[in-house]
Amino acid sequence: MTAAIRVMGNAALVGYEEVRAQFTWKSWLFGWVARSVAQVLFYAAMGLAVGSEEFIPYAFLGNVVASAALMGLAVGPDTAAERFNGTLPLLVAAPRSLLPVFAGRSLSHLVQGTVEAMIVFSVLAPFVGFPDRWWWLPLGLTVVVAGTYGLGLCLAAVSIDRYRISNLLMNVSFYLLVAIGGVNVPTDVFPRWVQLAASVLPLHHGLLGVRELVVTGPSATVAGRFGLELTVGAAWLALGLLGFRFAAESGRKDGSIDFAE
Amino acid sequence: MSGLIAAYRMQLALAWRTPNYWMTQATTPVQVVLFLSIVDAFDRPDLLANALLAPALMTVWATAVWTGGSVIRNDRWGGLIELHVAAPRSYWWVVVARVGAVVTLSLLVVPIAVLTAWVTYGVVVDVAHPVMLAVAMTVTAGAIVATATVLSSLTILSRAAITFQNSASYPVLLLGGVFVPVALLPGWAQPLGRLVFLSWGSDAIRQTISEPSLDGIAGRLAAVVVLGGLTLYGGSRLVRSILFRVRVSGEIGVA
Repeated sequence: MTAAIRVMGNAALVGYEEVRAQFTWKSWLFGWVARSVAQVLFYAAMGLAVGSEEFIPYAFLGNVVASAALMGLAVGPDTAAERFNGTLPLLVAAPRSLLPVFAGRSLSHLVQGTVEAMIVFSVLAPFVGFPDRWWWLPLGLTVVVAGTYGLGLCLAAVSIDRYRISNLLMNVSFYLLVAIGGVNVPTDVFPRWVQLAASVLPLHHGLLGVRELVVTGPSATVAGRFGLELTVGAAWLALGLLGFRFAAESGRKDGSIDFAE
Repeated sequence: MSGLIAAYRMQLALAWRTPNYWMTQATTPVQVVLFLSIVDAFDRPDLLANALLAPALMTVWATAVWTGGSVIRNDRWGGLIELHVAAPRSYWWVVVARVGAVVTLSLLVVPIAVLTAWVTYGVVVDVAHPVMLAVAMTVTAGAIVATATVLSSLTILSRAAITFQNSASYPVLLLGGVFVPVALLPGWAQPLGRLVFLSWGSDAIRQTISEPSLDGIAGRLAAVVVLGGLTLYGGSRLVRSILFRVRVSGEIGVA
């Protein structure tokens, strides 16, 4: 257990250094975060066209939460890059489980997703309006990023043989979650089978929980929604780890584990 | 001209073998569902053109920006940019032609969007002026190529420009009125929107789809041509100056 925590800590440090290498504070704030602000504004502004006053705050909160979810999904391309970077064979050969490594590496995503979404919220909420109990938002965002992390890892397992499609998979999944997860319109406007699909994907339950949390504060209903979000995320995570084991085994068998497209 | 045609054909051939350049189109069907669900939930069938235009233009724009960026990045990583600079042909026009080739392929989003609307919501799109729609799409796509290439050229100067290049997308799409027409934005934002070629292009395309009259379309298309042309000219000067700068500083081959 201690060793697993140590591995996770070291992996978290690597993840943090990767983020530092990727951005300067200027490119992060005025580039990446500004993009998220504009993205949320773009979708919330659709209320001006549909002519509904309720749409704007609804879509605003939905898209703030979705922007955090995107960071959970971004684990996919980053993890799939292990093969591209040549580190996957070493991870597979190591005696430890892959889970603490991946979890540690992705810890920065959890923090980044929550912090960035809160910045977006803080910038735009003065114009759109603050929900009654908005200070609970970071908790809800953390749950959503953790939930989508499982799906992100599963996407990584799918794209580990095809690194170049990892970004595409992330984008398609993100727009799918936004389209049917209740971000701009409630999921019940869709047919039953779409609602079913949304319920087995992350974001949907977590977002419902966030919408209640920022109005009523913590409650049994909110806890139930968050529990479902984390359960769905854990199921995708398990599937992702299974996918990794399969990819590693087949890679070792045919000698392709060190080959990236 | 032959150099441009060669660059265009080379990129088309490359793109067929490298889906990476244009596969952002795979996001179009889910985006169409996203926008149509809003139009449907608020019972606004009059916004159908907006719901189809937004994902189409978002994809064309994303393809242009992504391809422009990767064309220059790959040339730099592959050590080709020095050869381009040494060649008598302007590198700017080569990149414009190559981005143009991929944008041509990305226009496939139009049938994809129409088909998705029919399959998911049973919507049959009835275009009021199909010929003018083709003209408006072509002119707008041309201006997209010019603007995206300018943004991509900045990546020669700094790796951080890639982040800024991505971050330019949503402000352009918002001020470009791809879903919400600029006329509906707050008063202070409207003059800003009118400086973005896409706002004129979006209005023109929507007009050709759903309005019986084509009044004022010539002015809108002229605005796209003028703003796109200015970008094309400014971009060629900018790239010349950037390439001169990196040649002087000796950073041209430093990826």
